[in-house]
Amino acid sequence: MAIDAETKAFLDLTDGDIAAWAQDRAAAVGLTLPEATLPAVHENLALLRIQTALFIAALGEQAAEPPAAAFEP
Amino acid sequence: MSPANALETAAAVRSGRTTARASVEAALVRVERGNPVLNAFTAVLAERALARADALDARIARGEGVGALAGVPFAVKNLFDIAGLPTLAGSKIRRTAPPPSDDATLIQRLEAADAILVGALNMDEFAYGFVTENAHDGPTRNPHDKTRIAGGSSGGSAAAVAGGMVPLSLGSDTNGSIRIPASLCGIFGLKPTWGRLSRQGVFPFVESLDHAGAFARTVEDLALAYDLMQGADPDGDPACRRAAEPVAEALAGLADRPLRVGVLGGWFAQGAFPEVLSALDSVAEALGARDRVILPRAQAARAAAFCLTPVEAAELHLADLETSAMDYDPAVRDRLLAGALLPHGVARAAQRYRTVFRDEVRRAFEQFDILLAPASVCPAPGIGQTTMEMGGQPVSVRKNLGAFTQPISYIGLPVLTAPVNRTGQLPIGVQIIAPAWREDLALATGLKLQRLGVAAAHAPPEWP
Repeated sequence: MAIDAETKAFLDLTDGDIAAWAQDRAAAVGLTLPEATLPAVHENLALLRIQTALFIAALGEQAAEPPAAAFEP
Repeated sequence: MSPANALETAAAVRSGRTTARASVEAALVRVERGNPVLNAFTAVLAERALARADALDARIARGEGVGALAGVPFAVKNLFDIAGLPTLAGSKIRRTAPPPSDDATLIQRLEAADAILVGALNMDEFAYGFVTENAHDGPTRNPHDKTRIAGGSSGGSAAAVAGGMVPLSLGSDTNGSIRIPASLCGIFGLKPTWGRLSRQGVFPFVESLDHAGAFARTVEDLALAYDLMQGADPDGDPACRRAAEPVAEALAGLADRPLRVGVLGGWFAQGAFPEVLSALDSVAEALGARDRVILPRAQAARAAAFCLTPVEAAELHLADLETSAMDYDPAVRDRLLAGALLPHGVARAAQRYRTVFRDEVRRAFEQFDILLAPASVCPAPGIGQTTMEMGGQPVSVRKNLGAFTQPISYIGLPVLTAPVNRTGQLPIGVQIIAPAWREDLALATGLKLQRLGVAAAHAPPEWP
């Protein structure tokens, strides 16, 4: 699959990796994750990872192509 | 007695059988009686509405011409700008936001036709959810069973119409937020083609997926309101560039013509409750639809919409999440925080997949004028119910009620949600999906079903 390294790293996470990955990503985007939110944020990330894998796989090689400049229904 | 629909009200006001003031006062009484139970309204604009009603009555007394919605009370989801009122978008953090000086374009267009705005309506915070169990304003209750949700995120908009408080309301739909509450509350809801109706003055959720639309108890009311709101607004909403293409006058004739109707299977049947599939079958039979249509990419399209949503929404909220995360509804906050962390490649790929899925659906429309699908997975869940069973698995209500609506809004197609006529049972709606820019086909199909008695918006057990 020809996807960027960050996306590939996200897809390659296991559930056990998510907490550490989330802290690193939060630091990278300049966001503080309140302690109380962490379990739910991790749960959401795990679900998003599964869902992302679905459409990235469906896209195949097209996953690396840029989207159309303006979507037309 | 049932409250009048929009066309009946406008005809009565224009002819002098009633006045705009009487129409608005009656609506305000219904809101006063019904809202303590349903919790659909978050603001009631009695003074503004009565002033406009009196001005309209004065014009009628002078013999001046009046608009097609003369004296029709309506209300809007509280993410629409209303001059002088903070645009809450269901949130706590915007309660102190400076109020806009102008109404949203769609409010202006309805009021240009002499409809009268009477209030703002409850919703899921920032439109992120399908339940309207708002952490700050409380849950909106389903008029057909007050222990159940109205659906969301435009739950107040659906409950206000289904509960008889107003004949017309506006909402927004990013992943199903018009179609789900229309289905659960048993009324008609129209999500037009992406870019058809202006979103100027509508607080954004996911700009690349956001649609504005409307709710009513009849197809005719919805078609008229839709026509009056159409028209390009490129300065206010760059996506809204298309000239108006009115449909109301032509609907009756179009509804008489045979239409090629297919029924979506595959993803659109997986996990649906038996009564939902049975309701869909009854609609398909009435329309002579025998062909099942499988869209192999629908599940991936739903997944792409599911992931694009928090990424794009989080970009808008990043600064507020940093300073005020704990003031958000927890169910919304935690999804936005997760979205803020996703790599940009996820959103790019999700955007890329839109054209892939769009082209698959375009090919299906080479054989069909209309595609049918369930709107919601199930009838209205209970208030406070967090999980439901889907395909034998417990899943989140908030995240999965829109499983069948998300793939369609993802590619921006017009959809009419029509309430299946199931007297005495909880409402269930079907999605009547048309090709891009062919709202006329969806509305004509809805009109045909309404004429046949297969679709009908029933009065709830008690009108206010």
